[in-house]
Amino acid sequence: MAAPTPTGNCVLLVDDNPELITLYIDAIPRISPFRVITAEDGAIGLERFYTTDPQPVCVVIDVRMPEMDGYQLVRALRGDPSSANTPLVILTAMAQERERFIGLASGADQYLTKPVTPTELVAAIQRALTLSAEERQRRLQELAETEEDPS
Amino acid sequence: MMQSLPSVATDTSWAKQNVLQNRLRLSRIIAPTIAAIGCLYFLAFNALLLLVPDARQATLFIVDGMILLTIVLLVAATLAAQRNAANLAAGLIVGAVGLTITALEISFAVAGVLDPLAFTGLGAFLVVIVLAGVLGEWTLVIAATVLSNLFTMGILLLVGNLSTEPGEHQRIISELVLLVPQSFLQQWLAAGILIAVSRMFLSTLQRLSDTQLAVERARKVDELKDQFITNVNHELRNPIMALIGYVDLLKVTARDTTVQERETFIAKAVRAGNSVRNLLDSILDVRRVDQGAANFTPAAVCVRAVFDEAIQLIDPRDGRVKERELHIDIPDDLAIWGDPVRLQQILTNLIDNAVKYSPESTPIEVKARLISEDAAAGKSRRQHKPAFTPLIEITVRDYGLGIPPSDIPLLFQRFIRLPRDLASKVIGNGLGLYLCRILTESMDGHIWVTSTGIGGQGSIFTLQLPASQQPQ
Repeated sequence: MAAPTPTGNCVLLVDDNPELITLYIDAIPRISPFRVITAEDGAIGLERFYTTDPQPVCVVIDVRMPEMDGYQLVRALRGDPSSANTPLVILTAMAQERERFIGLASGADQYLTKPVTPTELVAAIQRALTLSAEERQRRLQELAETEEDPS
Repeated sequence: MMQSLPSVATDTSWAKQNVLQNRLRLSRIIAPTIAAIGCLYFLAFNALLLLVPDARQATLFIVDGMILLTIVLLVAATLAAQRNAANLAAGLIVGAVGLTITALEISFAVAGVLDPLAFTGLGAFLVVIVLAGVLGEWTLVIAATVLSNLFTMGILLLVGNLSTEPGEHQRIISELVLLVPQSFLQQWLAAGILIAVSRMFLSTLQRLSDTQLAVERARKVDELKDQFITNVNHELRNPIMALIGYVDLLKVTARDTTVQERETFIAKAVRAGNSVRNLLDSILDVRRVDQGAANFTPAAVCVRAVFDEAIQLIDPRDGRVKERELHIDIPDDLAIWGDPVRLQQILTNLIDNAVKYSPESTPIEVKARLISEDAAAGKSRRQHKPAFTPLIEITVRDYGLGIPPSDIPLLFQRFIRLPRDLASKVIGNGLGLYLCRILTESMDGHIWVTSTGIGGQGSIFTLQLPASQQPQ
């Protein structure tokens, strides 16, 4: 079940719902090799990401949060070179195609609609991890090009 | 921010207001214009008089006086129109124009022009009546018509008496018999038409206003429905995810967990399930209230009686309200004008919140009082009612953590729970206060909260509802 992980095996989960935070803490370490750290909003998530050593190998982000929302957090992480390559998984309660497009276009690697089981979540984290750095860069490049030319 | 739906009752005077505004606008234009013309005429008239000396100067001075009076009345009318006194301005203008016409007729008569052509000047009274119809209400039209009748009579009699030759006198009297009824008929016909037209216009405006309101309401309902669906979808997914998450966890780790761990997971799943149920119940409540907000028959409702019932209905899971220190100050004779079930729901919600969100050792105070007319005017900045409606004010005070002032505007919206409370053990679905607000507003009341946000000082929820005006 272990995917190739750079250093450490810590996953950061950012979600404002305390029931779900408890679920992540209970479930993920039991069904995967990952350890879990959590944050209840984007600003705290950013802080925890940078202050944790070794750095989390993946960040799971809920879209709707007070203070800094999920998309803003994704952009913040992508904007910083130390996190530009970190696999990111977006979690949202909105199931529209448009949201899917925005979710992917913002720079996240995987997009999930709540509710997802812990099993499905772990699978998505794995998929995000296996995306190579080169491919991620290519995707982000495409994204930047589409933004410049919105046709 | 949620907006409540526009209610039909508030806008029935829109049509009348619209008509009044139009009349004012016309008055503001007409009065100064005619006054200016009057001044010019006055100057010209007197200049001509100086050039043409005449034996009957006395009568001419009377005419002069009438024209001056006319000008004064029109200036007064302009001022009245500036001060939005539409009816006064209309009356002054009509009176002034009537005077002018009378003055003109007299000056014709005095100048010795007695041929039938002069009598066509009587048609000018129709102008007076039309002005009355355009600028004022039907009462002014009737008054103008009656006065026109009188002046017509007066002028004709005056003219009749002025003629010096007996034969002429006879001829004029016989003409009078024809002229008087004819003038009266013309004048009353004009009055009738004006009143009928103005009524038709008013009723059309009224229907337009009702239609506009209905369209606006339908649009808002559509918006609310959309928002509702979006919110429900969004709000349900989190607790459901917790529920199936724990079930999935139990399934996948069946062999690797201790009995105790499994029991914890099951308990958490159950808790999530209850959240969902709670949410569903409240959502249906909200939907029912949103749809039927105006549909109840208001009646006198005794506040104390409803309060006693509300206490009984507090969910014991949220805290033993009976074991809390309750300071109740509600006179038995206070009654609101509304619906008992709604008031009970509001009170249950407010007291429930007070019990949930404050420590068990702190008291909860519930007070009610009648606010009389004078106090109401200065009381609350949220007060949009005219100052003369007596209100019942109910306050629920707790000594818990209070509410950060920056969060207060959010509090009465749907699904809002403060971040602090989401993290706490308190179960809530963010709909209680929203419901309170919708129910309060459906009874024409207001609800708000004051809190410093400082722990221990708690919050005061204030509810104001129209007082019942019926004797108890």
